[in-house]
Amino acid sequence: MAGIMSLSLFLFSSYTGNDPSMRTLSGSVSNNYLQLSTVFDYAFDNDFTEVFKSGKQIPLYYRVEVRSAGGIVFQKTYYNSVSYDNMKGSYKVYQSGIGQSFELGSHNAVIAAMSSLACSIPIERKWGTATVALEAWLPTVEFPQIKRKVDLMVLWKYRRPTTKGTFNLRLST
Amino acid sequence: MKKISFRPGFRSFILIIYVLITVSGLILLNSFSQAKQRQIRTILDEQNSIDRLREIKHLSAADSLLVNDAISAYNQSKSIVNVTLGEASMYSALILLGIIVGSSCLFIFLLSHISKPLRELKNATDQIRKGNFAVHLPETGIHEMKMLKNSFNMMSHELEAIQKKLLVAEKEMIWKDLSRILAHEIKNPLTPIQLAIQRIEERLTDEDSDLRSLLPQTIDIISQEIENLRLLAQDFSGFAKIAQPQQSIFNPADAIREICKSYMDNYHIRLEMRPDMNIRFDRTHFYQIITNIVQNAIDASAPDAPIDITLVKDKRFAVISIKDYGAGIEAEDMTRIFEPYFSKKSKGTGLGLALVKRLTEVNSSIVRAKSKIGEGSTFILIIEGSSE
Repeated sequence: MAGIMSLSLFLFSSYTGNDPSMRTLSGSVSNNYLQLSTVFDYAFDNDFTEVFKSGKQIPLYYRVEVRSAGGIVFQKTYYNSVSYDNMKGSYKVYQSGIGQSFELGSHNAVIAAMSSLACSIPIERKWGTATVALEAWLPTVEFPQIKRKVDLMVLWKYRRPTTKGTFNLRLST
Repeated sequence: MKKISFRPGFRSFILIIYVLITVSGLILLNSFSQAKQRQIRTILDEQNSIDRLREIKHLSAADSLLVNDAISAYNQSKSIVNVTLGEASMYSALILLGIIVGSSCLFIFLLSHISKPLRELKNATDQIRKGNFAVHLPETGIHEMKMLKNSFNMMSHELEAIQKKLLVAEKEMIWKDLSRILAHEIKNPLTPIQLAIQRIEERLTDEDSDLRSLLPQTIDIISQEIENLRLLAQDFSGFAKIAQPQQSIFNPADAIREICKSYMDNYHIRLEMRPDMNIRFDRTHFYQIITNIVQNAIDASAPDAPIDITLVKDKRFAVISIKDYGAGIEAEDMTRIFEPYFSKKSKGTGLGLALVKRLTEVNSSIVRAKSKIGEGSTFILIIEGSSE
């Protein structure tokens, strides 16, 4: 479906939208935790200015899935979120993966913060070499002032960016 | 795989034009819509005056909240408009692609529905051209196609019936020709036999006549005519049952010299043979062919006129030419000389050259003839050489 959409957009549409992709997943093991991180590219370049300034909390979800010996051994969904305070004119960004929030003044700083995905997941050494997959998506949000819902995946052309990495969990770094 | 060539007809052209116009119209409409959406986005992007509300100082808490809500509502509306415009752009492109793909598939389906029965008709016509009149088409498809196929089937029925009548008429004609020739050829020897017997009868009744002096001559005449009848029967029999060739490898030059030995004493036959090649042929058939052609050459030539027989090698073929310097054959007769029962001679069955042609063909070889009035005729045999 994503391929057909891309083809039709390429042929018959002038809509720019966004073409999000994730860089290679990096990870390090310490104290029975696997620290994962990656960054979005081109995820929020177009049409997100007013969305982030809407005053509504806008989340970005990403699911982490760890596979070992052919089965799923760990799965959890994290989120980054942004909300705008009209009175202050500043943004509040929260990253659930590392449990931190930031107050930022510029749209570009918000994009940088929202594009950064980081989390720390508990592991068992017996999993050995595991494959970690990460998939991100945007939800449907309802704007309270105008009582309308909008599926934010439109801004990503309905494509969910993914990335993968393989890690030897027996080795500490 | 069979090569399929496609030539669109009138109906296909109409379909193609219709699809092109429709698709072009849709693309044009889409482009117009996209342009208008871009205009709306540009206008929206330029609308930032709402942010100036934040610059209003000395507002009460309630008014500040109202301003906040207004700004939030504005930003939310702008977000929704942007997202909706994006959605409209994407879905219109997707729908347009769907329409183009769908109409193309429909077009191809309709075209195949139209062209398939036309191909069936073309194949059936090819069958008719090859002489197979038993071909019939299933009367299926749209009304016009059914009518066309029905007409075709009626035509092939009629052609089949005409073909059968023609075959019967041809057989009748052959039998008539054969009967005419047989009757003529049998009558010829019977007349002298009858006359000879009548003379014997007359002498028997005449007491004074010497029968003994008449008998040797009469016996000769009767024997000769019986021999002619026997040869006649042999000719017909030989033509009717041509045995499967029993091929063997032999040197044609040696065979031709052997055949011509009996003619050398009485006729001026000149041989030019290439000795170093063999052919695979039925030896008996070969002897019959050469004998018939040489005999024809002798019949066509003046008593002292030469008859040239040459054997040459042309790539892997042996080419035997038998040339006489007789009167030649008329141009309009050249197409018929190999037909059975065709003859310009006063005597003969007209089967000699027909036999030559049949025997040549069963041995997978070719016989040709060329002639010029006043200069003579040449018969050419082309036989594949044997490497053994």
